[in-house]
Amino acid sequence: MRTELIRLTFLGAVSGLASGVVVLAFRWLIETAQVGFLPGGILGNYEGLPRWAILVLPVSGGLVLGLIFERLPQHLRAVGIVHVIQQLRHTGRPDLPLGNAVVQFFAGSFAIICGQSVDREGPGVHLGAAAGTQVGRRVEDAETFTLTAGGAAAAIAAAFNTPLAGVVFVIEVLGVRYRVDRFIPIITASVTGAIVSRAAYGATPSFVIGSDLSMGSLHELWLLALLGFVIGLLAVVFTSLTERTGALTREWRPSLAFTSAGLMTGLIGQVYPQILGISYDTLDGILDAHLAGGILGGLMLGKLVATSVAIGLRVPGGLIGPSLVIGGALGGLLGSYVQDLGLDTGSESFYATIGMIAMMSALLRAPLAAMMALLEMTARPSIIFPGMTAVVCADLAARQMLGRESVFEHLRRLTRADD
Amino acid sequence: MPRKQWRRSARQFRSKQVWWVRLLFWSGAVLIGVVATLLAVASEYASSLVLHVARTWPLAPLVLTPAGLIVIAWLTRRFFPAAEGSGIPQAMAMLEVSDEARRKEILGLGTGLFKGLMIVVGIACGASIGREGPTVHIATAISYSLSRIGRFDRYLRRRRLILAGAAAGLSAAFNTPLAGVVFAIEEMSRSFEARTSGIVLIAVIVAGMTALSLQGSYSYFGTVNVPVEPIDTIGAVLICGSVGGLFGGLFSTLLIQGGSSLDGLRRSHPYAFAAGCGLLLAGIGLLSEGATYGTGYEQAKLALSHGEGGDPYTPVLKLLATLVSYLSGIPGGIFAPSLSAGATLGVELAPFLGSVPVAVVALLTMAGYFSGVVQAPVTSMVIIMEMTDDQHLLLPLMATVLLAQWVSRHVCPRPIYLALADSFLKGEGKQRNRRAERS
Repeated sequence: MRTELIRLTFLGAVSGLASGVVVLAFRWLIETAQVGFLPGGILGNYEGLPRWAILVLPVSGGLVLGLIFERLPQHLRAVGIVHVIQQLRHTGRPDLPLGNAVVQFFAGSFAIICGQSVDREGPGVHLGAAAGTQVGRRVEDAETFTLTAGGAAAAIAAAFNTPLAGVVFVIEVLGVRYRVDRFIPIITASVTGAIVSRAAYGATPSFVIGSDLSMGSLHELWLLALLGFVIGLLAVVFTSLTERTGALTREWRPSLAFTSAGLMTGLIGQVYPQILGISYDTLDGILDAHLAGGILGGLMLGKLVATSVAIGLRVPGGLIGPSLVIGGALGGLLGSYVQDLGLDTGSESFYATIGMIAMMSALLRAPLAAMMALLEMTARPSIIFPGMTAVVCADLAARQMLGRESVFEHLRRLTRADD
Repeated sequence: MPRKQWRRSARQFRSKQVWWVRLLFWSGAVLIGVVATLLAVASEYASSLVLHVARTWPLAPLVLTPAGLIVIAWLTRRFFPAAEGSGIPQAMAMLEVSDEARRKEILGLGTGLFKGLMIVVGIACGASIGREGPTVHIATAISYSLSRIGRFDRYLRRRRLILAGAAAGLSAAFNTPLAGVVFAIEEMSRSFEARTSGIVLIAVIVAGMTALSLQGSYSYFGTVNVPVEPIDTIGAVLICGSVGGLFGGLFSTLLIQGGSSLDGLRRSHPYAFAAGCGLLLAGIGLLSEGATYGTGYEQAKLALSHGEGGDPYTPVLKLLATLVSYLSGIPGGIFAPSLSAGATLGVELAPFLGSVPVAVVALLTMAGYFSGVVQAPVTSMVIIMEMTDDQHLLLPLMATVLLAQWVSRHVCPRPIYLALADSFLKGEGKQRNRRAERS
């Protein structure tokens, strides 16, 4: 049994490596394309495009992608985190076919390049999990489940340089049950994924957290609790909007659905061009308190509507990154108001960081993963407590209205009704 | 949006019963925060007191320690036999048993209060024990007693209240909110239950807020911020992980095996046994020039911030002192002494690792040793990350913990708290049978 554990741990490292490499390739493709055609060759610089292009790019991109999707057989269209959850939870042995992963790779990158308001982490989890499945299939068929979970953990770890959050994500969001034996390979995979991403992109792979992260006084905890509750409500709005859109447009052809998502994004982009694409450049601005307070409210609402509608319309991208942007914008907004009061309070970056984490927690219903991510991203233990206050309040608010299910569960129910 | 959910929430919001239970739960958590703070202050004071005594009169512990241990052993056996040991295995055992009367006895407020007092006395007498296990015991006693006042539903009473109390206790004890939660989930219940985490988190926040407002913000070991490139630490990871894991595993095995093989002796001659353990502790203390007394917090902090470790034998002596203290049957935990033994062990390993800063080696070895002892990888990573304010060592830390976990499993196949909880349940059963035979 012990030699098996060694072997499995080694395979965990291999699947983490495979997952990390695939995720990096996916990211490289998106970034190369963005640098190629966006003005000034700046990543995510959709703001620099002329007005007409902001409308035309997502609409035409959506149309092309939809037309291609219509040519694909039905079973290849299942992609994203929902697909992974379905496979891990509802069919004893996970089966993430290579074909779906290839579709996810190209469709996901195409959607993001064309400015759809979705992220690369959702596709990343699918790609990573599929890489893990392939390793399992080829080498150790009986342990495919563990290796698939490891691949998914490694994808999250590689995206944010947060190995522990990757592991807890697998438990909380993908619903894998914790067992020490099974988790040594998964943790190994996650750490390997983080190492791969670190080697390529350094310690802050996606965005940079501000440096001034201390709380002013203990009274601010009340303010953070309030922030948490509001964010919980936002998560409820996001989930309901996604679910409603999904239910209303269930019969739509992909070309119509993706084009409408593009139209929505393009229209909102007329006012807030920052919402196009992944918006991590915008998140950077929010976290350093570079963006003026006034714009943040509109940005937050725009991103919320664009992403929830796009996800409801089944655009092949994820919602983790947008949830960070939405929460970060709200936190930054509150932070800038509090700063104006002139009391002894934390900085805008402090509020933005906590808002970002709380939104992710409320939307994915993953409080522990969110707090792990907070600890790993900031490496400052003093922020955990204020962060936990906001996260728990957000989670409570969301739970009171939506029950215990994450947005993925709501989406999964929609797709299942499809079959 | 589901209407049913809305209606249920609205009903809960208006219900007096629900608010009463909530209020009760929050006040319990506040109490846990207060008690954890008191215990922290008292035990650190006791620890510095015994160090002072040992420095002034080096031979005093030869009398003080055996005498103190005898008194504590007598009091414990006479009044609260359930108070011996760490407290974490007891809380874990209580998650499993179905006998309500037994749970009431072991998680009684009296047992908790007594244990809190005894731990301070024990530290002041020179035993090498930590306060975190007892804090967990007291905290679970408090949270469990709530169920007698308010009407919590049965599921809540059995598992969630105990887990929430334990998490809140550990969090408030070390100001490590996340580690408390992860510990309760990973180590104590050995499964992540999504249903648990809500109530556990709330307990941790309320208790933590109380402790923070009493003590102010701090991180347990302060800042260990030595700039080092993760790539340079590969050698250190391998050595710290394997040596730390090996020693941690050895400690666990010795504790489990020693506990079961000396159990008969301890039951037949309890006071002579306590006196013998006391003498042994004083002897070890003399050999180490006083470094093994108390919680070991000072030594660990020195090792981490200045790279000072004292004698080369100190870590082994600390390991032995902790072992002897636990086996003597007095109340006391193994958590903080293990951190100290690991950190000082790291200082001794540092010369073999040339270019890597001593503080980094101490930190990694502490993580490895701790992970070797408790065998809960996620908890070990989180607790070390939360105790030290460090930016550069995330990945090396995790690699060390994983390696140590793996090494330790070869030495000690069963995780220590799980094994202790089992033997606690078994020992309890035996005692009960004997009592039944006598009457």
